[in-house]
Amino acid sequence: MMPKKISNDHDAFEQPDWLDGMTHSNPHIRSKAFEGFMNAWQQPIYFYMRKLLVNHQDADDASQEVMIQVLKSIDTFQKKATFSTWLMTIAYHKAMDAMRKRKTHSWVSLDAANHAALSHLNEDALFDADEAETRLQAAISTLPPRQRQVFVLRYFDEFSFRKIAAITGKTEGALKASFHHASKKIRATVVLPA
Amino acid sequence: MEDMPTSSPFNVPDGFFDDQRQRIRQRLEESEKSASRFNQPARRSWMRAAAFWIGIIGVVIGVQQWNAHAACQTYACLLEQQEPSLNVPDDMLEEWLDDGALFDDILLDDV
Repeated sequence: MMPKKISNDHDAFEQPDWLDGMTHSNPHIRSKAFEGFMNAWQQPIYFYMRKLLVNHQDADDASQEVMIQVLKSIDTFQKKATFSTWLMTIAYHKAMDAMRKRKTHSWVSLDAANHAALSHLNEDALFDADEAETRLQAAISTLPPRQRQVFVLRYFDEFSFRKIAAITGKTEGALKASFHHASKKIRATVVLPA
Repeated sequence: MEDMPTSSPFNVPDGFFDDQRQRIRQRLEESEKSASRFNQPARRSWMRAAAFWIGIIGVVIGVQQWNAHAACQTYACLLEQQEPSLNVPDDMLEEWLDDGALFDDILLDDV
């Protein structure tokens, strides 16, 4: 399955057409808006979580939490930012919480962590990749939570640093540094020495 | 990094997204039901009345306590407001003090 990429509306300030329906008093319009929201965001949010958390069950739980929170607090969205930025901010924080809960002990070496991640991926029936992809995903899963998020948003979803800054509340400079460190670690782990 | 894959190797079980959508819808309906139970007009007005009276009682008690302490200008006044630790009627106390009975009645009893 080829997952949908997260909509990367850099500067566009368009809001989705179903957005107003989400808070409508008519339940039929609300239900249609719910479908519109789910069609647009269910898969991107799930795969965003899956890239960060790797495990299907964890990604299911975390993505469900994001969507429930978005739907429950939609009336607090003030339309000062794009809907996608607001939603991704919620997803970012939920992912942070989930990664911190599952954090491995700091005394585990990077090699050991990478080895463990590789064997988990190889045993995962819902993971289907060649060796290069497996090594890449294993390397990503050993990154610290913030670096992992920045790397996934930038590398896979091709978000601008400006947009990532709006989502995370960090400066563009700090994010570029995080991405640089993450790329360096991944290159060192994935690219085999000649 | 150019030669690294950007596709996703992650799969999901068959029907997963339909199932997840159903679960989300159910959770939302449940939370809407519980929210509407809380927001029923009768329940809201009853809770408002209860909160009002609790507030009034709290204010009255607070003002009483504040006045009681504020009215006292002396240490003796404050002492009077405390619960006495020994209940001795004034007339008995005067009697003891007048005729030395304090010594006989109390202190010698313990000897």
